[in-house]
Amino acid sequence: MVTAATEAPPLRLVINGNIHEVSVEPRVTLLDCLRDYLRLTGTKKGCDHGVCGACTVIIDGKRRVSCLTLAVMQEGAAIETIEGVAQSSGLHPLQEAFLRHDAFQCGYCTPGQIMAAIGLLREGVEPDPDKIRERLENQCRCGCYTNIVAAIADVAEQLARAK
Amino acid sequence: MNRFRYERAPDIQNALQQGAAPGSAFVGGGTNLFDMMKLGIAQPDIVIDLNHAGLRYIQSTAGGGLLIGALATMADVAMFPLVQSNFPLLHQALVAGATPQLRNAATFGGNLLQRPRCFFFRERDFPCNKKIPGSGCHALFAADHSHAIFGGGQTCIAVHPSDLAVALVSLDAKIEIHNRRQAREVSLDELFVGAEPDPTRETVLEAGELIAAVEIPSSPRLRTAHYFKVPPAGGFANVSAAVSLEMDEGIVRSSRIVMGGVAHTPWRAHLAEAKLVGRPASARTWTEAATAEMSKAYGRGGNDFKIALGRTVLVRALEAAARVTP
Repeated sequence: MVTAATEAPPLRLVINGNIHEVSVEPRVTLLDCLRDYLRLTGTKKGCDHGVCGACTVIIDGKRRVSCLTLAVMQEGAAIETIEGVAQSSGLHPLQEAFLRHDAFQCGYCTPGQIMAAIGLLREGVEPDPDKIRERLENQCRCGCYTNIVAAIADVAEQLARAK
Repeated sequence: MNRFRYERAPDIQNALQQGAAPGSAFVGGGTNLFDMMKLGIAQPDIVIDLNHAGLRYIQSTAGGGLLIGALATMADVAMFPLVQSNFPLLHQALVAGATPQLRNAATFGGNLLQRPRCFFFRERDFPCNKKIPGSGCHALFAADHSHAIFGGGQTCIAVHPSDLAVALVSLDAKIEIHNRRQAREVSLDELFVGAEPDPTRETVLEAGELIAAVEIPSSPRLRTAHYFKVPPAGGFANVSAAVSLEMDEGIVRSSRIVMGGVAHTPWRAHLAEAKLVGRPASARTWTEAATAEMSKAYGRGGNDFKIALGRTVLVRALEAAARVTP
């Protein structure tokens, strides 16, 4: 556990609709702030350089990597993490689809895959595996890509039918 | 990352004032700056956030061009309806140039100023002329996919990594550079500089200067211009080409060919362009033009493959451009 040492007033971050006050140095990334200061460890650190997508969160409705932005830069933004995805009524359709399609093995990339997929579904995508693959570049070292894409296509299909 | 002071600039004037402080750096999306800082290559004492300075806009101009604020994100621009309909080359280069997550953060101006991906540059403790002039260049003996095949010289053979830069050079874009004294307009072509005489820089920007906006003029070539990249996405170009053709009854009148991944700057393929003038659109024409351009390329072992790849990329890009060119 890292303790902060800064004289600045605490930062107010809005995460999954809740306000969190935290004292962090400017150099603390949003990822490290979530994990080490706020103990929201669902968001994972993969490469820490913006390449793998494991740290994907949603900021003001857009999917972004959290390892290459600072906590201080996101004061005032609406941040969504994997912790906010399930509802009190049950799992998110995408989480259910990931289970149904066996879309994870070790599970490390999975929160990032789900947040990236939620971002993609909000942008709008056809329930077509090729189109989904083009627009999802998160890495999975276990190689679950086929099932990840199938899970997302499943939900995209549900959304298309609901319209 | 080193400790630093974080400041937000409420407008461009304030940004320039703050940017006058030595050891300061501007930040847009942060997708390159924080990467460099985590590697210890960049170590600013002050980071000035430009995201709230009113530079995030996209406008169409009289005459059908575009004026894009430097802090517009890559995603903002790629998804702009006019870009999708009238500037396919720009859309293609943006989508090829970064993952969806990065595109939602990275800025249009910032993308042009990203630093090279050369291993020896990015490893903090490796001697490297780009970091310390005169300390040497390991890449000369250990070249890989990230190293140049054009440009000559023994000082620095890193390539410019930006796909967007290649597209904008081919579109004759101009940028607005501001410093505390004045604003000036510079063509994209003039923005980028070779490794001589000063290998520490990739652009003409001086400390404290910033890019405020990019203007892309309209042109008859716009709608048919095409971006071809290997690998197609999910990484930095080994070789890419932005190609557009002006044809008259099957004969090439003029062309614009700019290559990425092959030089310290986006590389204008003058030899290929010259070979195309007055020639019929055909496989033979494309091959001759590609061969002419790549005949001047040199490999240093690990980047030899780019020479043959360059020929293929040029031929395929020309074929694709010819298919859509009226």
